[in-house]
Amino acid sequence: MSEAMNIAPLARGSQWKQRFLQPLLRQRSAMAGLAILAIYVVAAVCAPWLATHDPTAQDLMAALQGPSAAHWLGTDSYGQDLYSRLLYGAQLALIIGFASVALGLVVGVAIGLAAGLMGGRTEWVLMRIVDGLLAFPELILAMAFMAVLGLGTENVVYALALSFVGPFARMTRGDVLQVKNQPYIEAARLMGVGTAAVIWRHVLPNVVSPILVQAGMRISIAILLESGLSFLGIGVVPPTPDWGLMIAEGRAFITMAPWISGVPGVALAILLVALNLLGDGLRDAFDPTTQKDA
Amino acid sequence: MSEQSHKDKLAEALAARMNRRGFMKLMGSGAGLAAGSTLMGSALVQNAMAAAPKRGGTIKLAWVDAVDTLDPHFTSSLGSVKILNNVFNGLLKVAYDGKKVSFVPDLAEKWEMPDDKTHVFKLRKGVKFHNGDPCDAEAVKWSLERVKNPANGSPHAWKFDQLAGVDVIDDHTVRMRFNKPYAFLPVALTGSTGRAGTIVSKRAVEQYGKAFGRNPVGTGPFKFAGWRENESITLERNPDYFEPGLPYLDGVQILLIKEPTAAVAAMMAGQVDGMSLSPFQFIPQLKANPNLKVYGEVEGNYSYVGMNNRRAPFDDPMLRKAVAFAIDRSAIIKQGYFGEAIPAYTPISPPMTDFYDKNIARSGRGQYFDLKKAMEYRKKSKVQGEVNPVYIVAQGFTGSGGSGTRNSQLLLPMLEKIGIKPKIELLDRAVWTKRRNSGDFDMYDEAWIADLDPDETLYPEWHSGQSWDFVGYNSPEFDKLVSDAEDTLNQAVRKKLYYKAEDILMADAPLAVLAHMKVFKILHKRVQGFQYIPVDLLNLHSVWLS
Repeated sequence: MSEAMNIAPLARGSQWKQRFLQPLLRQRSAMAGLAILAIYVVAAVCAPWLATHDPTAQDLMAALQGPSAAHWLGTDSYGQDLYSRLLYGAQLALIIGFASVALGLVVGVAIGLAAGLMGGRTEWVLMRIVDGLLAFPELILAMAFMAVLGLGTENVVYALALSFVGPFARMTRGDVLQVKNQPYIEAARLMGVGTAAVIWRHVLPNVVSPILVQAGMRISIAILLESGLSFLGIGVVPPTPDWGLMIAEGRAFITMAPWISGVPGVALAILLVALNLLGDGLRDAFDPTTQKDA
Repeated sequence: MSEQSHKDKLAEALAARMNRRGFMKLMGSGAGLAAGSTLMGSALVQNAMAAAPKRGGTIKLAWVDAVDTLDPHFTSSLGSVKILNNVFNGLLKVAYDGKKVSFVPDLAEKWEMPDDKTHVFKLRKGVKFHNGDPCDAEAVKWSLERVKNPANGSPHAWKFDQLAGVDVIDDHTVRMRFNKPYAFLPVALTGSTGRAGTIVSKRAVEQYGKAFGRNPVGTGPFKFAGWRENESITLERNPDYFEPGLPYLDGVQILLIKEPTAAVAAMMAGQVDGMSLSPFQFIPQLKANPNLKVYGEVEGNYSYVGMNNRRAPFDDPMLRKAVAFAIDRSAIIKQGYFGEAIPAYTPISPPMTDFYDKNIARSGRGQYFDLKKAMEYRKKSKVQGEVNPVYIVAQGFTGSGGSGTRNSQLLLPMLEKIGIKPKIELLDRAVWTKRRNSGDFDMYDEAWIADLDPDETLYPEWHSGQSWDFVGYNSPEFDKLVSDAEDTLNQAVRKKLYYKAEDILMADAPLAVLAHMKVFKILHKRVQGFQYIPVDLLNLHSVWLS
């Protein structure tokens, strides 16, 4: 008995390795993406220590300066240090990206599970709501909600999360419908396992990979949308260090100080490439439709 | 009193006096172009006349500012007014001799004042609207009443508040009767933003109804030819224009380019012949280009921060005063307007030559940066801890003043020094306007632009209950002074009244004034004959392409 107890975690650990880590490690480009993402995360987390200036401190005498020893990536039109703003901007971009996707995922998966498992009228109602959400392009939906909620960082998260609920819900429901008729679910039910346990132990693990793949891809979309909203002037509020805002502000000075838009633009582009590489890698590794090729 | 002395009195009362000699000449000699140039007596015009103008060609202009409607009685956008001035005429028009702004007859040939409440305009004969209808006394009366009639809801109706009636005396004579002497009339008729005295075609208005703003019909040098949404507006030459020989151009193509950077690039590359306006930061670059000519002077405007008098925390005058003295205007001018502005001490601006005090910086009047004073006022204010007022802003470029988020961002560190940390709320322009109009804010910043007379700079903005008094300022003393000044024809007395009014306004500080800005027009060197008028106009009457 004691032996069995010891073996079980070990087996589960290696199983996890075999099931998740190894396929992922085989994706070279995904690893590159992950490495870049790791650099961004470190930069964002350590922003208070890495930054050389207060990101919102204005130094009007030093406005519109190119890269120099004092300001490594130059300054914007208010004399704010771009390097420091970039770091804090990374923090904001990642927080908004992850938070909005996480929120969208939780709500979306809950709706999808409920719809898939309950069926009948509940399913019909829930899926019509989801159809309604899916009818709008993400950016339009987010813009509409920003208009209703008002501007600000939190509201950007809610607006983006809401635009992600639809895709997560629909996908989860589809997978749940496939899984719920499997014999092992039926067996668990007949054995008297509780509904919550069935969902937690048997349904969720079998639908989780496509959801995580989807989540990985959505993060880059979320960051791009957030920057887009701020660029359009309906996202976070100035002088918050935000890449979209920085690009928008630099637009008016593009001919004389291209680095104002350029610096956050390049940072955003690299992060998005990294996230997409990672997302593609996740999909190649775990998506059932492509798993055979991997 | 003789006719002439009434007119003298009015003329004196005006912000910018009429050049009476030139005026008489015009009356004597009719509407010739030669008379026109004498009238303005300007070196500018004569220079323009030196080379023989070339006919033909289409001018291509990049239009950066918004065009709301081409109905002059309903527009509130200077981007529209600049176009309207080329399609319509008013009874009077604005002229500029390089130093002073003056009001000269346009559709009117003669302007008389039998007494100080009555104005009689003799109209030019043979003027036709673009649709062939005659522009006679009936048409003028109908047009003026269209503005006045509250049922029409014109935003410029307030300019005719005191208008008792318009009478047609004969086919070419109109009489305007007022309830009291109205020193502001010439500006009310011509004022760039208002153009209450612009004459529109009655048949066209009835034909198009609400769509008249998309199908304008006037008497001006250019006819409206087409409007492609978000793309371009085209005008073509009016061959029947009443100023003989004008205009020189065959047509005007107005490219609606919302992105100023793109417009500047097109201008620098010579792809367009002119720009309607340019954000301040591009001016050095544009001035440095040898192919371009940049026109721009400090115009009749002021930017300001408005503080909501109706609710806490700015219902406390001490706190408002603290803000007014805590703002470093030189930083705003350098960073907000890139040096293309001068500090404002009071709302009255330099082009109001007879009212603006050139020595105001040393007079001690008005508001200015004095941190010590600001601290003292702050100490006397009701709330002593940190204050977090809601500061509403909207995105947009700062080409014509205090719009955009720039001023608000510059103000943050200045206000932090006196313990005020505004909470910036970035809003969609439409939402911003709605909240400003309904008083749902603590602070906002904006600019009043293209003013010619202290009346339009002070009365509708800060007189209690007036349409633009968004901060809810209410001072019976101030109200009385500006109302009295409106009916005062004696210029010296009027000036005194305005100074007193301004002193009260600045001391109560419902607003903190920031700056008087330059307003720019950029034209390519091949564009000749342009006459600059410092009320944000881009008149193409005498323009030609070499």
